[in-house]
Amino acid sequence: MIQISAIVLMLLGIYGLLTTKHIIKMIIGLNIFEVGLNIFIITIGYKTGAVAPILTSQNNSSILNFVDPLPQAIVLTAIVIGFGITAVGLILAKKIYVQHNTYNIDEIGGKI
Amino acid sequence: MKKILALLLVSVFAFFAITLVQSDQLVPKFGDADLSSRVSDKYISKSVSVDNKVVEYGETVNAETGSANLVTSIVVNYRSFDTLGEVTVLFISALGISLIVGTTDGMIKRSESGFILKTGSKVLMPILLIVGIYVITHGHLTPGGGFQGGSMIASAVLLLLISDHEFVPNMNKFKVLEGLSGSLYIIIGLVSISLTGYFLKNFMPTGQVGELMSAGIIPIIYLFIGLKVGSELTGILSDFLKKEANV
Amino acid sequence: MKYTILLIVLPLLFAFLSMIFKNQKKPLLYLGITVNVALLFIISKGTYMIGGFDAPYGINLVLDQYSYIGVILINSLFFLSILSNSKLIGSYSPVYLTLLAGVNGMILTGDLFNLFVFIEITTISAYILTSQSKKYIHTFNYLIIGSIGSGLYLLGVMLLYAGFGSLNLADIAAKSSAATGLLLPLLLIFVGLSVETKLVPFNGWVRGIYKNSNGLVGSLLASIVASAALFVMGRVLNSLFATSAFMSNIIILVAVITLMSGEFSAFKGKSIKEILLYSSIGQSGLITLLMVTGLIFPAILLIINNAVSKLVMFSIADEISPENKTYSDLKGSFAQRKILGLGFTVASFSLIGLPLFLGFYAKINSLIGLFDINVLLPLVILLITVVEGAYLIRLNIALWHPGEEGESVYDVKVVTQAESNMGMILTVALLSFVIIITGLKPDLLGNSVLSDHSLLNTKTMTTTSEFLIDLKGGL
Repeated sequence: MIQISAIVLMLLGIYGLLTTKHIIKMIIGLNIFEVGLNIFIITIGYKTGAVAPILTSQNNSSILNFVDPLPQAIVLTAIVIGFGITAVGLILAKKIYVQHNTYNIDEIGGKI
Repeated sequence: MKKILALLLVSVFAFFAITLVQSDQLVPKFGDADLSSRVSDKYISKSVSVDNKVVEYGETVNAETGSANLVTSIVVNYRSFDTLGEVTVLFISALGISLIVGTTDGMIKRSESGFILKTGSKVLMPILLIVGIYVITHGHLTPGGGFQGGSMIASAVLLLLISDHEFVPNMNKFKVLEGLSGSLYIIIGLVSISLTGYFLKNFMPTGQVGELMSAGIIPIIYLFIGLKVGSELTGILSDFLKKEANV
Repeated sequence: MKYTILLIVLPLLFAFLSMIFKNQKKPLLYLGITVNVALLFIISKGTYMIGGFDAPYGINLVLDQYSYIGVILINSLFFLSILSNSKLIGSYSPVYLTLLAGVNGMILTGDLFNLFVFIEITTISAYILTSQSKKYIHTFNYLIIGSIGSGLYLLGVMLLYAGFGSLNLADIAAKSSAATGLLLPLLLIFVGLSVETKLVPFNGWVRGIYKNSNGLVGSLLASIVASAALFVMGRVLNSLFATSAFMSNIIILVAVITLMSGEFSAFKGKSIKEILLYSSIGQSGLITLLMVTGLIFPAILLIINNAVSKLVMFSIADEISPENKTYSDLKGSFAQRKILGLGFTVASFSLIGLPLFLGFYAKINSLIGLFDINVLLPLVILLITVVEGAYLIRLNIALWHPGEEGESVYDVKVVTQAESNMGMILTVALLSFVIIITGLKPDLLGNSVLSDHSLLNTKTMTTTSEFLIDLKGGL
């Protein structure tokens, strides 16, 4: 169930990105897509009845039932990379607004 | 027209994805991850290069990575090259934002903040800083690490920027700190090439699992990453507040 | 053996150091590119385990015959490109260093998630560099399309991990040869990689970006980043997609459509950079077609040909007309700057595939190889060669012939400025020399670099499976 909702979130992000004309909304759509992607990746590693992959004084042995730690490490990297891209996208949006005084890509044109 | 095409594309993708996830062909069902067929099996028992022994919290000495947090051992030890790439991506983003913004004319005019924000931030800022530093240094024992703690430190600076309308961060020192921490991360890797022949191999003794002073080079690397991320995010925040120079 | 990692790590170190030593940014860039070229002489083939952990538990770098050629190509071309356009660097030196590290990492890595990280490093550096043109809407377009592509690629890689339990390319290739249900992950990975290799319909960003870049950024993107993306596409196609005939047919169709649409749009192009960018799209389609049908050797020759020619042509196009005038307004520009003109003409003849140049050897090999696959494909290639010949020769005639009285762009000021760019003249002369020499004696490429047969038979590529790219011999 949670995997299906993660996929639906990804698709909502892509749909919003493809159909909007406002630059900031495109960035928001991209972010929603990335959130859905990260949630889906984490659910790949889930095991019912397992505990978080940290050795503590309670879960103190490595033969216990742990969830998969590798997708969590991958999502850590993916979140940071998504943050970097969003920051660059937002500063470009600000510069576009200063140049053309609008956020609507139809009015900006984009003609080369 | 564009909406119909987008809807068509999205529904085709949805059909394929949901049938793949629901069937048992490639992706195992949710909650049935079979760890013994994945690489994570050896990451958990810390037996990639050594024999398979059980690792106990507070008792095992000189385990392979020595870190109690298994996700940290993957991020900083088994796959530390990916972390170097991630740190580089943040570096390029921060540098690129300052290059795109270009020459500026000071900061934009911020309005004065209310009473609750001013006094509240005076209480919250030291707490944020201390929790951030705690999370960075305990990356190998509790959930957290360099990236998480670095963002907390940057959010303390953000709080200061919001609540104090005359605060201008001095970015020169932050940029030198950023360059220094990044170079030290790579220099540690080069040192391990000269000591052991492999890039970013853990060349220090890893101590007892669960102690603060354990896990070899992992807390040192996380400290550098935390400082780097904190100064980069502060730089990005202050670049967004710059005013355009009138050409 | 352990010097392979330094190709990626040392440019990053210099980029981080240039934040401390703020006044030495350009010397650090020159030092970085020189050190990388010097490292090319001491690296040796094999796999390198990072951190001392075996693949697939750790990340490994693969330096076999295939990536050895790629690494030599991109490092030497990067060196020449920076030297010939050194006045266009500005204050962006650290970004060039990270771009160099990123393309090296893309070619060398053997791990799928590591490939994702290096693709992100390369594309974010490209976003920053292309924003120099001040036309931010095109960079924004590139950013959105690139990010969606990378996201879909990551989804495909994680679906493969969920199925096979490993992130190593060779490991997954060994395990997936008998598996089913791989259509969606492979499709997603192909979509993610085809944004960077400019295949239809994901190449909407190419026109805006390539047309508005300055000489240095345009030549870097068109020759070096494009070659790295094609090398990566070739490696992934030949290890993961080898068993799925359905996906291979789709990829052949996409590649042929890209080839034809690129070359026909180039025929209608008006300015030099526009013609060159559509020609780049067409060449990407042709190289992808050769890679997916398993003809690696002709594909590598075409990549080398495309990289060297596009480097020369983009630098010259920006030098003689930075503001994108149509080529009919530039009549006679080469009559005053003969060395640049000769280099441009040699590069265009090599792109067409005329005899005596490197392009001829590459195209003949591809035609012979494609005859075994399908008779229609060589016909398409021959038709495309005729179209290429038409527009490139028309362009060259327009640029050389001074036209009627009063149409030439002869200008005294322009002439004296041209002589002062010694870096570009030397680079153009050297690369044209390389094209002609390898065209006259193709066994130079064969004997020195491409046919180290003793290494093709070793089984030390990875610990889990063989990972050999079978180089089919040419003429």
